[in-house]
Amino acid sequence: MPAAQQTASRTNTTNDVVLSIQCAHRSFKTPEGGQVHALRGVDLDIFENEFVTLLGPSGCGKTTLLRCISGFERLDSGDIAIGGESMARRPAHKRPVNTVFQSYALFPHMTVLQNIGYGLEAAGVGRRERIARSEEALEMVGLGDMGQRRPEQLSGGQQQRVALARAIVNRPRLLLLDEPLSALDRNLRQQMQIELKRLQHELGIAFVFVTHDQEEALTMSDRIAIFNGGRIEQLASPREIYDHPASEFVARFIGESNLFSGKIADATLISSTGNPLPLCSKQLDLRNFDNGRQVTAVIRPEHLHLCAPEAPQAQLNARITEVIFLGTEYQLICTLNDQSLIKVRVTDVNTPLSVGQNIGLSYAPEQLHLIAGSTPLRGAA
Amino acid sequence: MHSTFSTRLLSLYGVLFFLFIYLPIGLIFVYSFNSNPINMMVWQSFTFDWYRTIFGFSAEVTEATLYVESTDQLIGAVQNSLIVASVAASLSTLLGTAAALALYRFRVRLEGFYRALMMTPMMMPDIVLGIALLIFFVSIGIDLGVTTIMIGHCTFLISYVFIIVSARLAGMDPSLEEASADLGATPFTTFRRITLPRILPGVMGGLMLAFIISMDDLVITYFISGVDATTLPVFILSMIRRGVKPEINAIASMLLMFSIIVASLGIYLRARSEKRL
Repeated sequence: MPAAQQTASRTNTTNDVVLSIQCAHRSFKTPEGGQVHALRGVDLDIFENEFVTLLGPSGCGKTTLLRCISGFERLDSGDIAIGGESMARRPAHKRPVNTVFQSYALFPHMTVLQNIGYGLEAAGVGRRERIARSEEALEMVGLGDMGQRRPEQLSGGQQQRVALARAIVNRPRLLLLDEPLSALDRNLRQQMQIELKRLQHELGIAFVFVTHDQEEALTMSDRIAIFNGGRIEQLASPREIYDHPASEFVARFIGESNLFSGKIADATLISSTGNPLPLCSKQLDLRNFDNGRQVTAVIRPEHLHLCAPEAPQAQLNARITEVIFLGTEYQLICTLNDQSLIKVRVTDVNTPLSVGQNIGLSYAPEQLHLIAGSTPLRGAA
Repeated sequence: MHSTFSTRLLSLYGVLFFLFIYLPIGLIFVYSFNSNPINMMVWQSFTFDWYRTIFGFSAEVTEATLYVESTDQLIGAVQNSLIVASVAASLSTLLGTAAALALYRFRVRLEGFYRALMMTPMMMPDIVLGIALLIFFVSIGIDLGVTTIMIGHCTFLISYVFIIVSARLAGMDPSLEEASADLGATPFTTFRRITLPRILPGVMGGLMLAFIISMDDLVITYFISGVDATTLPVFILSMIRRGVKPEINAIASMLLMFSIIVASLGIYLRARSEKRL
């Protein structure tokens, strides 16, 4: 699946591949003597000027992959090539990548400018040019007058910017970002998301961004690689991933979703919820799903519409169990006939809603996205 | 009312507590300025005479109150002590730091075991270490002297340095070294520009501590010093054997001052580094 999905969602095939990962495997020994497979055959191509996010729960392998790209970890097998050159035998300090660390890792005994100039100094850039370029980088992240300060005198957000300036000043082929925004508060994080995107446009460098925050991933990425258990479950644009999750895992991980498993019968899904759920016949044809096929259907809460209970257009009947006010909308948690719960978004906040009320739910069949199989971890679907 | 009483009681305890610790040391210091040659416990008048005699200046004191060999041998012992402490402290700082770095950097099997092995000499009874070293040196045929004292001191001073530097390394963000490599610095540059500056306060603290411990060591040195190479503590012990004379107070007071200065310097360096994180 991953390979096919990759080609399908590739939007900028004309560009050159800057990073190519082939069949990357990496496992670690646990202290108890067991083995953890952090990477199990990861293939990934990243193009010039692309913002790719590696997204997944903790322990899914995304950070390991990042550390293998930067050279802090080795692959057991497979290859990583940057700009067409294999990195297998290159130590970290000879790779054309720079990293923004989760902890920022600013050198506490150096000033901000010395921190930023460190990479240039290592590259043998003369003092005058070094200072000029460091100041320019500091200007780019909006901290022009902070050059003489020590990292400890800066706020978390400012340290973050210095770490960014220190990484981009060396003009790497690839910038790696390891959950850099996780320590910032919500407002600052959103501000930095926009700024990172702007910087990436200005610099024209490919960014590989690791996070476990789906909102971050959806906001900034050109493509998202969803990691699970050391594999890429899906690699596609944010929109594609949201609308057409390739597996149950992806559907659950990105956004809110309601899942129904069952068998296909005459363009409907027979599931434990009682009523047969109408399916989109176009989708069935396209995906070659025949009658009797075991599938999981995904529907987002915002694609469910309220109607009167037992109304002719109601495809599901439910009882409201919980009403959560979210400011501009309500989230309902409703119980279906088989006692399973379903989430519904109601944008019209004037609708009278109360717990215990019986309601009908309808949807447009094309909004019901189908995933083959019903078990979440059956390979990569 | 009640609280004032218990507070006062607590203050009294505090005073007694510190008296208990510092009274004996304070007395030596006071006695070193007492001109009474016969009974140092009876205050006669203030004098620098005991200090003067140590440095070989004439003083109006009776010969009977002085140790015969005083000045020359004393200075020789001090010299030995300083040489031994300098060399042993430097060498063990080098070796202890290297060991701490090795166990920090590499994923070693049985790391805990090696760490315990590094710390054991510090906890070993001095007398055991002294005897063991003596027997070892004699059996492989090394003449006892300044060299054997240096080697002997290194065996346990390395432990102290190792612990202090290890603690410093444990507090260092491991991503600092990675960041340095990531920015293109060679491993040597990373060590010189990042690792060493980060651990330097620990290294200096270890050096100071090793130095005063070496200066002060009696038991182990006593076994392995041989005939000619006498360090200050061993020399003081041999003086005391022939009776406690007022001069000893002056020697002890100066040794105390010296230790306080070196130890304070070490503490100051560590405190400054912790403030800087």
